[in-house]
Amino acid sequence: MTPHDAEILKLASALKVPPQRFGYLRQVPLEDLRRFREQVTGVLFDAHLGVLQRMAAASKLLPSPLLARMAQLVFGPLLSARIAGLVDPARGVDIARRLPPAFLADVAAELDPRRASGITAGLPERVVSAVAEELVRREDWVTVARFVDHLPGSTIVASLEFIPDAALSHIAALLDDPARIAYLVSLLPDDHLGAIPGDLAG
Amino acid sequence: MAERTLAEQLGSLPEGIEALAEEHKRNLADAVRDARRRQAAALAGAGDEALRFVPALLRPAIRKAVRL
Repeated sequence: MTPHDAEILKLASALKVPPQRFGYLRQVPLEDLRRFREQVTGVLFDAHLGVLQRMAAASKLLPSPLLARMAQLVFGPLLSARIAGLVDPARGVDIARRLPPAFLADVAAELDPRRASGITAGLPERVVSAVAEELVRREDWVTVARFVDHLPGSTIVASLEFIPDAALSHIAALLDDPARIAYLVSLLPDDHLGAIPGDLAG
Repeated sequence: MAERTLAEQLGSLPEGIEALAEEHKRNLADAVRDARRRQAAALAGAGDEALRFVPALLRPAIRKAVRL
């Protein structure tokens, strides 16, 4: 996967359209493409911020089990992901641990890990592993890479056992931060080191 | 009413995006607009529906907090 293909795939994933729709973006300089994707992500996450903040504030009045039920039955993955970045992290963790991995994987696909880092860093290892396993089953490498870009090493290590060697090069190609590729390599067990090609691993 | 252009939705665009053909910028503008509309639709449906799950005693406080 070329760096342009990786950027186009990430943009298409954020906008929920097939990447083939954006083939013409291969002519755009990579840095401009990256800045554009960040612009799009920012606009999507900042849209309706006022009402989302009020919903997050109102959620303080309700117990976590009820909020977990509402997340699944009413809010759905998209709104749950947007609100997750606005609630108190400890509360967010308490709600998340009550939700099934399949739903959390849906939320993860909509989440900007930078905006919900308190929650993702506070999730129990068993929850992270279960969500990682689900994302790997779906082959959702864009979401996995987004989390590898931002999660602490201990959380990544807990998820690595579910990621097949064949997927590691895809994930490495999709990381935003080149320094994270070397970091990911440093976390791999010795017998998996060959999974990331030398040109990516640096 | 005319749909908002890409720059109207996102602000100042990176040079390489600004230099794209108009049809490609329109394609990007449509994709961004559709994503925003999906989010708005999810939000519009959630408010009243969520209240059905809230215990009756708490509904006035929740309505006030969310300004429904």
